[in-house]
Amino acid sequence: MPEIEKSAVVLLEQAMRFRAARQAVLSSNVANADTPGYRRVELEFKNQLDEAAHRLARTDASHLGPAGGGPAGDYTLRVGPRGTRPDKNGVELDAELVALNRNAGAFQDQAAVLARLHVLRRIAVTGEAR
Amino acid sequence: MKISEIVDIGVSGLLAQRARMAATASNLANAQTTRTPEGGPYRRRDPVFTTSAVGGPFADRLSRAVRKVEVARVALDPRPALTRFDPGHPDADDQGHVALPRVNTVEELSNMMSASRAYQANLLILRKAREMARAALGIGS
Repeated sequence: MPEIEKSAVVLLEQAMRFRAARQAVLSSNVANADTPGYRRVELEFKNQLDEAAHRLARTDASHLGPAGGGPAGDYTLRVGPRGTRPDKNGVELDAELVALNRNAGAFQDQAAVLARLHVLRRIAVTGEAR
Repeated sequence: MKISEIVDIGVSGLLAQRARMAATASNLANAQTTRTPEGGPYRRRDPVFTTSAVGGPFADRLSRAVRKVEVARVALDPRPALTRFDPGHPDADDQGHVALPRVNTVEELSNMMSASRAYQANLLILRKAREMARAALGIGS
């Protein structure tokens, strides 16, 4: 298997883990849109891609890849400020819903790409398109 | 962190918003109720929401950071009842005043709209979680 395909699979897997985790965080914000004093939570991906790509540049195939380790430790969880509404809730429902939609869309796109990679691999192995 | 936890969060939101809708319906239905088992006129109900933990004691860091929602308690309106002069009313006092629930229809209706919109938002959580699970299942096929 060419190295480039392996790294694509690992990156996609990481990205999907991040998207699934962020979906939970955004869902938490939506569910608590009317909870007094709730502060919105956000998950950040900062430099995760660079880092993952950097770690992938390993010299020996027997080295452990970045796929190990839990997803939670890799991302930065940020708690937003207290809201200015009378109930001190910092959630803007519309903004959360847009983010929820986009994030799920990104997850589905990544899953689709991953599925295509598997199809390519199958074609390479079996020599037939279907 | 599992997709089932997203579903749990969405379901908790649906339940909470439904409780709010039920309270609003109760308030509107009893806007003129002058007799209750605890005595006096009906007092308007208002559910108070609080966050609750997702996942069990062995949840990972992220699962501990996200929160479900639940109804902490149902608050009774502390404001005194409205009084109206209506000597013919069976529950009128010696001076002819009747104590009526302090229910504001405009307040209740706006609350109902807000609850209904929040309910839809929580349904969206469930729909998206299902789409994501389906997309993930489609990878190997």
